[in-house]
Amino acid sequence: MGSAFSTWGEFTGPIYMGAGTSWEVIWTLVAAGCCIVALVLGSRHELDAYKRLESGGDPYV
Amino acid sequence: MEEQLAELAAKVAELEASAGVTNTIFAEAYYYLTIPLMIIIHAGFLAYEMGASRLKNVLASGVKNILAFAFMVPTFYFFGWWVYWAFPTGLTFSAGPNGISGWEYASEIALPWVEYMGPNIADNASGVFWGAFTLFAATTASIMSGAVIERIQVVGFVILAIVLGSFAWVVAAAWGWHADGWLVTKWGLHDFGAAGLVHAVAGFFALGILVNLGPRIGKFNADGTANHIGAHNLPFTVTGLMLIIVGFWGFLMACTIVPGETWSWYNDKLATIYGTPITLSALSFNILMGFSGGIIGAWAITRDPFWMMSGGLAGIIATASGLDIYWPPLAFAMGFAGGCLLRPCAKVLENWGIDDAVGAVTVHGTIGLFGLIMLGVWGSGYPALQGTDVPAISLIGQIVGAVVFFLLGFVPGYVVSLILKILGLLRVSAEAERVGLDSTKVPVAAYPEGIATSAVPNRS
Repeated sequence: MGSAFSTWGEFTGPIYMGAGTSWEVIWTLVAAGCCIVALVLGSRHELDAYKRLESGGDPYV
Repeated sequence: MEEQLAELAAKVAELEASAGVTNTIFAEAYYYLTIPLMIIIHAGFLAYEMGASRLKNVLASGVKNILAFAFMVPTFYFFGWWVYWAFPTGLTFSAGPNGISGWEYASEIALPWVEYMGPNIADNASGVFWGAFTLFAATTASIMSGAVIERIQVVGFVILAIVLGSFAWVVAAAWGWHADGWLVTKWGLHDFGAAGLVHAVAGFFALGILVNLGPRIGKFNADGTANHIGAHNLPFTVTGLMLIIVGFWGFLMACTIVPGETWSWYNDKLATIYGTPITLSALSFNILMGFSGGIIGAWAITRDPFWMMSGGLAGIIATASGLDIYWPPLAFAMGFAGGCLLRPCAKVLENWGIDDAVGAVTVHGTIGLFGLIMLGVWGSGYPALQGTDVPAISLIGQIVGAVVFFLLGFVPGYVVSLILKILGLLRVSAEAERVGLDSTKVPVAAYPEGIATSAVPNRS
């Protein structure tokens, strides 16, 4: 992503990486994707634990 | 008319003087308040380490941690502050391009017997800057402290803490965190929140010690497999980690330069230590996003509250180098990656026979270097300093910084701990370790009435 400027005097307003480019949306989607993946993995782990407990096994893996 | 103009000029001069005083007091108060905030880091490390220790070593771990903090203050006064100003241009001790470094400059402002190093009504800056840097120094020592619990001698540990906190990381800061630092002026290194020069240096210093110190008795079996040595009070440890994160706000706040003073970069905006513009809003966005990303990433991989809170810390460290310029969702993704990396990296260390009791090498060392290098991937091209014809941030520059910081941590940690080992000052006796360090040398008991044990076995 980087920067198109060579000195800080040229910057006004947003100074973050990818300002005004499609990277803003891309990284937002990536961050949201991370949350969803974590929730899916977490849910699978939790439901498996309940099943193992109900079947008389060790709930923890 | 002339009289009115003179009156007006006098009024303007009075207002300017008044505004100047307000700005000076604001600047002084700004850094002054970072100091108690950073002391919260130490409250956190204290709780973290004591909680992570077994019952028989709780107070000995606390004593060691408190002493690290206490010894850092006078030693940073005696020579640490001088090292920061003398070393930026390398071992030449010459003045750098900004004229605020080198042997002469350091000796003028930072030797313990000069007028700036005591109460002085003409200087509202030196004391609060020194205080903030002293707390940075104490943080590096505390990072190392947790890794070596339950088997290190106190005096040996204090010597190592002084070498790390008042010398090794200070050299790293002079080289990579000072506007005249050669890593900055020649390689365009950018490490705003000290992922490399504080966290990685401290983490790999700890690794150098751990090689010589060896694992706790019972950590590894004869076939090399590892046993889990559980914390005696995990809730205390997890709360300690959260306190460390509270204190980080003070740490990162102190990494900025306020405007309007003779030593400021700008009159109208906050700057990083490199003179590049920053806002506290940038820090709010990115610290919170990195922190939460780290917790969620560690949860996805481990489900373990110890690693989740360590993940929060790792998330901030993974983004620390570029907190001033990251796009918040990218900071979240970086934090998430840091949180996911933690336990696998800690396992690799364990497989090498290294007993890092609290994961300090991984959280601070590995993730510190990860954050430093990844800024070179995302932020290449940004000017690394204020001014014209300045180097830009680059992947190569960040990698060079990472190598230098690794060496500035690992080499002194290994060499000094080896010397202490030869002198018999590094490790406690096997008998003391078995019996417990509290009953061996601490005159009071942590839980004189005992403590209830958990009904649920520890599964980590």
